[in-house]
Amino acid sequence: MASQLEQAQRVAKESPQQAVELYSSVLFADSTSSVSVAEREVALLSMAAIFERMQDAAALTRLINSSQNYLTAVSKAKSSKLIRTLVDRFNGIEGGLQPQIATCQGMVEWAKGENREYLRQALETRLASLYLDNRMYTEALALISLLLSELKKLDDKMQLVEVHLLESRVYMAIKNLPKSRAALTSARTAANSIYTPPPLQAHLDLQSGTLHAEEGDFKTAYSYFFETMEGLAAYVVPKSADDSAASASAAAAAAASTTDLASTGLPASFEQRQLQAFAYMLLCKIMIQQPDDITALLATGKTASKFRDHRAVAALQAVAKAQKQRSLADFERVLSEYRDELQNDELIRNHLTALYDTLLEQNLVRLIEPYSRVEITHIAKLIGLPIRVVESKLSQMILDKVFYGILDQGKGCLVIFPEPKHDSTYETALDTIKSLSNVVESLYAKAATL
Amino acid sequence: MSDGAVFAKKPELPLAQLKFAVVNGMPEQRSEALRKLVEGIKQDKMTAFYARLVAEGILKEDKDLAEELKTASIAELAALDKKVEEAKEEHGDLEQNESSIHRAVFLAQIGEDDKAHEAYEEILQRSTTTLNQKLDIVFGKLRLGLFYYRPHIIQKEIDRAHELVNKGGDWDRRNRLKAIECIWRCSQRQFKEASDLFIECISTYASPELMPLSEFVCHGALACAVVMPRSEIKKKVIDAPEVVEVIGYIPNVGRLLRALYDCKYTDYFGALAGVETDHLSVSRYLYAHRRFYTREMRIRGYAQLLESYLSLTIKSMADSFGVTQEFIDKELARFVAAGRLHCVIDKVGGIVETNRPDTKNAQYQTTIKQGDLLLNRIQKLSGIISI
Repeated sequence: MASQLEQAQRVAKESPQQAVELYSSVLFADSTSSVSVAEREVALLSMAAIFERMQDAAALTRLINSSQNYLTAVSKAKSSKLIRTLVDRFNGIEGGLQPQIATCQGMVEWAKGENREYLRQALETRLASLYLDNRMYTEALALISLLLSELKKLDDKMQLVEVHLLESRVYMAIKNLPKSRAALTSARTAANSIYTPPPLQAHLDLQSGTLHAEEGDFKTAYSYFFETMEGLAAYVVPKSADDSAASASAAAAAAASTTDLASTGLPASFEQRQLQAFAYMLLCKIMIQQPDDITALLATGKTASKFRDHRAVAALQAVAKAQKQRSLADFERVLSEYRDELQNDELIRNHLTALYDTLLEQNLVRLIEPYSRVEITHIAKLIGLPIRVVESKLSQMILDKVFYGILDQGKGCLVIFPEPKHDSTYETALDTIKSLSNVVESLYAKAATL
Repeated sequence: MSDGAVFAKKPELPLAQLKFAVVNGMPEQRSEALRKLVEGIKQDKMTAFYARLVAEGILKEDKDLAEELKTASIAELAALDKKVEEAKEEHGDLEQNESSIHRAVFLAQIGEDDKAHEAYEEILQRSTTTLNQKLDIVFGKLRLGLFYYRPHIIQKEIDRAHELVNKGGDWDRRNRLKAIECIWRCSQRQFKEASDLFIECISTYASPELMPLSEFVCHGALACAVVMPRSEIKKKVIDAPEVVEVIGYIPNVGRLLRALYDCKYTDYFGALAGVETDHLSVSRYLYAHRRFYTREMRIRGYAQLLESYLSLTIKSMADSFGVTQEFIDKELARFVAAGRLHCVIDKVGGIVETNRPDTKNAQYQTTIKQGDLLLNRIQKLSGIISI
């Protein structure tokens, strides 16, 4: 059997099909044969890795469902780790979210049947975060409230912190900021009473920072992001290579420890998270209009200097420069050039779009201030943007009552007039007349009684 | 009160929606709806409802099913009657009321419209029923009224519920009343009141027996879209957490609201068409108003675009809406003639010019008219008094 394993490992790269067959024969061999538990485990994990590489979600689902027998034979702790690793294998598959959710639900049922409470709770936490990724917010919230009541009874502080953190993220996704903040506070209180591993603490800080950024308090957000980055500094490990079957068990161990945090849905690699935190720090500096500090940041600070050459950082630097020069054309150019980095991250995208809008509005207001009647083409030339964009933005501003004006497309110009004063003469006149008629009514009544 | 929670569910409103789907829905959905309808009838032993459906020709007569339903319902009714008798003899007022309520609920469940209403009324008139029980009974009557869609009954019950709630109903029932009233106003085309109620009760929606959250948000959001001014829509509807939560299930409504706010009119028209097929033609509350609704939303779109322009070319207007110039011409002609839009079409120059309705003039006219009336009355008065 050991020879079969070695054979399979060798052919894994070139002919995955053959490797799969060899692995399955090892995994599903009769209990009478001399296949050890460790060997089966290696077979199982390697097969999962191969399916992930081949992007075959259906095969992975089948594998997980059929391996339930094997998992009952293994010790509880090990089987929990194995299941979590297997469910995470879906992460690498495109469009694997739906099968991942289905498999997770199946495993939850199985865990319920096997009375494995701890495993079930861990799986349900993972399921809730999958719901969040799939935007099924109602299901996520329902599952989370069930989990919370259970965990509070068990007083499992560690899980409690994770689930509260997840709850905070769901509420933020549906823009319910007060509830999000409340959930985060509960997470912090629970975390304060236990020893929180630094990665989890960093995640908490990241979430607080994001929340403050959403509310517009960028200074506090900046300090939180800084904490996140520094906190992770001690934890940066090189990315574990979990493809090679030889180090499959080592990878399983490492992956299992990071699965705890991956269950909360962030890139498992700490370095990536540090980069994310650093990018957010730069974003905050941009939003509070201090782009000069960015150059200072990059020069000093040994953690910061590590990321100097990253594309995301370069993108944000370019944005800062465009903002300093108040040049909208530059801003747009940067947005299209670094589209990947800037559009992929939701927080950065939202804030930069908001920043762009405000900049555009401010510039336009400043430009049209001296005029009472001006051609739209002239404004477009001054601001350096196409006419269509300028015109639609101006019409929106008029609707929002940012300034009082009207567009005359027939002549292609914008007319601005001062704020129309509200003349209340007629209104007061009408009111007076109404009261007078009431008086006349009552006089009628009195006269009738005479 | 657990009893309240129990009986507030019958008769099952989804069944009424299914009946509507069978009559008015798309052909491919009809058979599915029919199947679910028969299932629901069997489950709730709805003899009277079944008989009515057969009489209206929606369902074919199935003698066995009819017999089965009849026997089942008669048996259960007999059992409940016995319980009522027992309670009268042995137990106190609370038990009496509860058993009577259960009996009335069962009558409602099987769809016996008038008998159930009588039974409910009888319990309501008793002096021993608590305020909460009275409220729950009124809700039960409302549900029955909504099931068969009897406007008079619904309106009367809503007024009665308001009185009771003002006397001292708890928040849960107050919110429930708001939710029901919101839907009622939507079905009566009173979208302004419906939108106000929607904003108030959306954060505390807990009436799964009425309709699921996503449907409720759908109705409420559509009501708000037609009446709310642009600035409020963003804050109160688009960003409301409950709306964001379910918008994944009702994507067209989300698209409509965002397109209206962002002035993306091509998207707006597309979303409006989607809303009509997906939501207006399907909901039994909004079905009668679908043409009114689409017309109003079109007017809203045009008015919003015209608001910021003194004049604009027909071509650019057609382009922003993604339609042909002839279509715009026809639509504008309709609405301008009806006085809904304030603009003038210059076909020779291909321009649409807006003319703001002059409020000053209108106010001047009203002042003159009112003043005239007033002077007349004072003259008459002086005639009377001097005598």
